[in-house]
Amino acid sequence: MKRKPGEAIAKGLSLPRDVIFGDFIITLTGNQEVLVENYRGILSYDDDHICVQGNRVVLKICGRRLAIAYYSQDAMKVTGRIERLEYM
Amino acid sequence: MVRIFHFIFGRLFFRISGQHVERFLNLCAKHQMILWDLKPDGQGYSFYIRRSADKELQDLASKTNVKLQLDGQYGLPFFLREHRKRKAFFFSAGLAVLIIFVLSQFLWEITVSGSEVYSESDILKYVTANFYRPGTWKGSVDCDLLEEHLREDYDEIAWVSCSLTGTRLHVEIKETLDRKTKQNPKTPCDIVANKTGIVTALSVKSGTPLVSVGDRVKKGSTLISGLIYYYSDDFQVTETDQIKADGEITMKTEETYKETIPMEYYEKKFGKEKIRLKSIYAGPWEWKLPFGKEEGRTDVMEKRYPLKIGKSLYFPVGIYMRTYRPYHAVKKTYTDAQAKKKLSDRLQRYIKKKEEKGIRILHKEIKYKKSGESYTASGTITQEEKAGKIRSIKALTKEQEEKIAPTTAAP
Repeated sequence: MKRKPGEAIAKGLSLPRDVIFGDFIITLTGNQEVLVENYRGILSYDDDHICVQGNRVVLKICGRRLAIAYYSQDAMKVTGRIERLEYM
Repeated sequence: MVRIFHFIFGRLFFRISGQHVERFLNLCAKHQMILWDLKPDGQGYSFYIRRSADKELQDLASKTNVKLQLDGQYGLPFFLREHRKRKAFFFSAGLAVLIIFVLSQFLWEITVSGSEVYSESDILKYVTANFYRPGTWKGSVDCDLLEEHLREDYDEIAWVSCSLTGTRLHVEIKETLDRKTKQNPKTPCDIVANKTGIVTALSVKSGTPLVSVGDRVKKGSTLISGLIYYYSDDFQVTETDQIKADGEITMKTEETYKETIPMEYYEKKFGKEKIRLKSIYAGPWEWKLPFGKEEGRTDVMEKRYPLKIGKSLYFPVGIYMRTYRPYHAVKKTYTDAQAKKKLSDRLQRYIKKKEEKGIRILHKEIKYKKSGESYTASGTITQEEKAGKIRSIKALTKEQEEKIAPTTAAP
């Protein structure tokens, strides 16, 4: 399989993928809190799911009574009862 | 912390609804506007935002064609604007700040800790009677002078530190001078004996030792001098210098022990305890609150609770609380064996306390005796303990000078 040059560089120089590709960094604390970094924006937001657009994939946070504790360009913190994280 | 900032700078509560609400949220993020507590709310969302972002938010709303509705203003700026006509409120708030500032310029509380031989109230009485009473201006408090006088007037105090933090003067006392005690006298000093005994070990860190192991020393005689003599080749003193004497001295001392207990005693059986507010005080004034008379025999304990902010900012206002513990007294008499056990328990406790302080008991000779209506335990305890206390430098006597002078012993 042919490797993309970006991936080869990232692997060869062991650079973090979030810097090279802008991948999500997700910090999950129990099932109450999730901190998402490196995203582009919110696609949709409801009481039981939040869709977040990343650089290549979409992250769907499913749960109950979801609320965004803060939302800025760099990071967002979602609180509530988190049940699933899905990539779409 | 963030909440405090939000309160000080103010925040706005908005509701938004419309077709492209998500686009609006993303644009907010792009424009460095941080949204908090973003929640879905019926058709749209609700969120908080900082006060200064209002104008920019309106522009973004018109750009994305969402309906923006201001639903609340919170924080200090809005509070002040709402209550700006209440002059008396602001006046009294300002006055309160001023009073706190003025009161914080005086000394309102003196605390003592670490004393075992002397009671804390003794030391407190000494300080208030001779030096500083609550209400003294903080600028006139001289901690060094107080330390010096405490060390001179109380024999058992080996090390003392006075510190003024907030409106509290704290006197910390150490009664033995050991390595752990942080020795920080600011001026040169001697170390003198605080007890009579025989020196069993001596290690000098700085200063001139005036005694050697095996010497019998009297209370008050200098052990390590802070004076340093420099000699020329023909043993003449060329120069003297003063430093802080430091070192560790172990001495063998003898102590007389005596403890008496009466044959008859009352045993108290306590009932349920009650706590009541007794009075409120402000400076020298006190308002007593009425309280009913207690029936029968009661132990009464009184405790003062001064008003304070944090740990050290005390104010001259507070309350007195009283704890009542009613009891029934039952008269009892000790048998010989019981009395002996009680006395030996007390002795054991006394010795254990000493051992915890690092004193080694070498020998004890205690006799139990019944005399009239009481039992007595008396005798002597021989112990090895760390001795020495700090004193300001004293000139050496001729005898001492001779002792430290180098000898011309031939090699």
